[in-house]
Amino acid sequence: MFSKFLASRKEALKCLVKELSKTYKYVSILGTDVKGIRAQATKQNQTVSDDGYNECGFVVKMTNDDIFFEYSLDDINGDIKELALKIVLESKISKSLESKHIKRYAIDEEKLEKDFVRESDLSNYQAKDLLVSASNIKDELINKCPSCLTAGCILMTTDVSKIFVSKNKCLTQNYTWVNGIIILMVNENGKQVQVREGAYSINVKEVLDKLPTLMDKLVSKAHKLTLAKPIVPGFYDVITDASITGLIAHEAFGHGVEMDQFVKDRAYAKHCMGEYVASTILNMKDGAKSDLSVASYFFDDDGILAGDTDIIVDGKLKSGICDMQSALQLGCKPTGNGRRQSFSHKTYTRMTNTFFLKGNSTLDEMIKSIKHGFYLAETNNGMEDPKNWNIQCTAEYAIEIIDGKLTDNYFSPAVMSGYVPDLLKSITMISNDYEIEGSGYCGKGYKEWVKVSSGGANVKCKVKLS
Amino acid sequence: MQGEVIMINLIEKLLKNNKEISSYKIIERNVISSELYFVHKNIETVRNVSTTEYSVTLYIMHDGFIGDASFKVFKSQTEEEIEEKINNTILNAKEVSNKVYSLESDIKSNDEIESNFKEYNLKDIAEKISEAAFKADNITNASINALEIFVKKITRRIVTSTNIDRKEVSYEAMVEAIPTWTIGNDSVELYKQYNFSNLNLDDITLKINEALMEVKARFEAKKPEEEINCPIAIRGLEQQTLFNEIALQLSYASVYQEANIIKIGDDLNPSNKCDKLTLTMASEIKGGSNNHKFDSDGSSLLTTKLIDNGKVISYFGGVKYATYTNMKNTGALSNKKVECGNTSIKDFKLPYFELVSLSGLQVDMYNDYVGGEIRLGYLHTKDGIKPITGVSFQTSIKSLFDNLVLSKEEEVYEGYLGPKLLMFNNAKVL
Repeated sequence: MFSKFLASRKEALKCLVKELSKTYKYVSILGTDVKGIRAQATKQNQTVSDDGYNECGFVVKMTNDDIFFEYSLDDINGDIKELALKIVLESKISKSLESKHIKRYAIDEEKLEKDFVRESDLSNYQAKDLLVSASNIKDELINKCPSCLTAGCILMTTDVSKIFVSKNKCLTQNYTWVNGIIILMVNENGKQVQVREGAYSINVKEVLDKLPTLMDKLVSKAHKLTLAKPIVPGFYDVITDASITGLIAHEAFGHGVEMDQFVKDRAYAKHCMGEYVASTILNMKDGAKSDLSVASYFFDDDGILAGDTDIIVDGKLKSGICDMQSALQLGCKPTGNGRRQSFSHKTYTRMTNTFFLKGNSTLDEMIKSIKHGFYLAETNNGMEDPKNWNIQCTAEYAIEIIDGKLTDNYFSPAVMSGYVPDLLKSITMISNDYEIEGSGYCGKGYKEWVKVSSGGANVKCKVKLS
Repeated sequence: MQGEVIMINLIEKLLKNNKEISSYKIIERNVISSELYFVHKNIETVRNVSTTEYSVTLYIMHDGFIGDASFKVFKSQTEEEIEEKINNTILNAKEVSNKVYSLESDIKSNDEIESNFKEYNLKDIAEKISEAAFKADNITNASINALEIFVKKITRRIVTSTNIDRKEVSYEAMVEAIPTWTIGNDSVELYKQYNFSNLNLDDITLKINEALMEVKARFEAKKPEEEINCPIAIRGLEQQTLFNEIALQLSYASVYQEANIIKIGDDLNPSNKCDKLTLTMASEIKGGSNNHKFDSDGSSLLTTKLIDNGKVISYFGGVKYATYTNMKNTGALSNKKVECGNTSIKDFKLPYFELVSLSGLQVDMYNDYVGGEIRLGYLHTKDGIKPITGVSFQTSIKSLFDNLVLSKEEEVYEGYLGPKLLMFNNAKVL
């Protein structure tokens, strides 16, 4: 349900836009009201709290022909004229700074008034219900592995309401997401390991139904990882699970085609548009409209409608993703990828749901094709280098493949590194199904965290592992 | 600050009126920020931020347990909305059954963390920083392709039902710079982030100049022709990352949840052929950018030595897990100090491989793994210094500590004070 608070401020926002428009050619206001709950039950402890990313406030964006000014504040009400005056005064800068402004195209905004809502079962659950469910799941997990050091269940919900008001637009949206994770820590065979499995959906019930079905896999994985060895560094044929595929798509290509980096001459991909950058069997998308996951909003934080962008088509780089400010500097259309960590942060070009599309092979065929290599599983973390197109991604573990068969030999961790075009051009097989995971956060450098999903089909490629 | 005082008083009044609540804690955080965003040398965005939010924790004693649950309050919320949240959180807290723990009590304080930022207007500081940074951007083929400057004044206050009322004002600046070296169609960059709470414009210009020289080195760097088989040295950022993981292992929370694999009595440097590690969690670091007077429970921060000459001697942590582990409440410390060694960098045995910029140091305590992809390293040999790129390294944590050489020279990096270079042997460079 759309936020009553934001609804109550709609007229005040319109008044403030009108008032500030006496000073600025373009004025927009984004209002955010994000509610989320985190309920956690472990063997030793229980917690229930508002999620750390909950927020409630407004950001005013203003510009004439060049510099963008923004003002983030907790509320918009009371004497609007006085508030407008305060914002204008606070936004003044020195003449020296003003003279060094960017050059950009004028804003040409369509007229649009629309309300978007995605229904879910979230309103049927209170925080205490989630805690009780988390505790029950935790108890069930302990029963399956009584010798564990710790076992736990974390349930996280997000309920997002946003309003965007400008001279030509009035948009509202409300959507939700639920993440559930089960965790186990064991100490066996002289080694301590921590493992996890997750379930993700717009509905709480689906997550609660899915988590118990993952417990046997979790317990088995924990035991196997206590026997995991370090990888012998080298180049290998690998098959990636969906999360590692997604990590590659995200780190190697997603960050590389964020067009705010084109503006700053920070992306090698800028020079490769229309060229082959990957195997001809590879296709990649990003968009809040491309799939249904944690980043499936209806409009971005600059009021641009959600996009569905073909980034790589049959191996050729077709398009980047772009926020409004960068699009105005580059002279192209924004793709609905302008996102803020919160109303108190700036908009950057950010990924949403990023994935490689499915291919024609079965996973079985792909494993059979490898004489010696690895099946890489579970994202740990990754790092982008869009300028020099290098990549570093860490998988939690790798399972050895010998003579076309998965073995019981586990290796951990598995760190992939290398040059992106080489990696992508080495893709020779892509599976005919795919999965997207919506539990991750993406940073820009080491800050500006937004929720993203990534995934795709299994891919077979050649990578450097260490 | 009239508005903020009224809100915190309102929240406290509502909590005190509710007899179901055994205890409570309110944390108020006000941020005023001035920000500049540059594309090359041109200003793209100017931002100002003024926000306040509140985090409220309720404690309810029931059935021999403590039920604790928390929620956020925003300045825009009405009394009715806050009261509804309190009532819902009481229900949540009653579902929580944690072992009882003490709460901090009876401390009042009002501090300002040392910083010369208070002598200036935040906007002026941001502009001065930009001028100082671009002052260094005058080298042929070099450029700062993007520069972001954040200057903040943060006021933090904690008020509890157990007679805590502590306030602290701090200032911080964060500068993100992208030094770039371009010749023709070839271009490389590095990522640099600087955090500080004292303004020294000459230092900023110097650091940016150093960054531009480093990115020149990255441009000239090549993959090594021969295998690199010598000790590796890491700088402040990577040392901080490494010791964050070590410190996490030695926190009361990790110990209580049996997640730690390092324990009191362990000797991390059993070899007599290396410098010994002494790691202290520090309440304050002079020149550091992360100094605070109290943690999120209102506990004072007590400097605590964790590792002394290689031997683990102590754990640390805040009031909750201190109660659970029956140990002294040190406060939730975050600043770290590692004592330097006796060898000056100029006397380091050659060759050694100094890591200047990594994609990110990966530290996996459970798999005994440290490694990362190297964007730029300096190979120091008797023939000079060679810039190297396109390799990665890995080693075991045990092996790293068994071969330590800690430089005599020290350096502050954010909330870390340690040797300017920390060297170790037996790593594989791939």
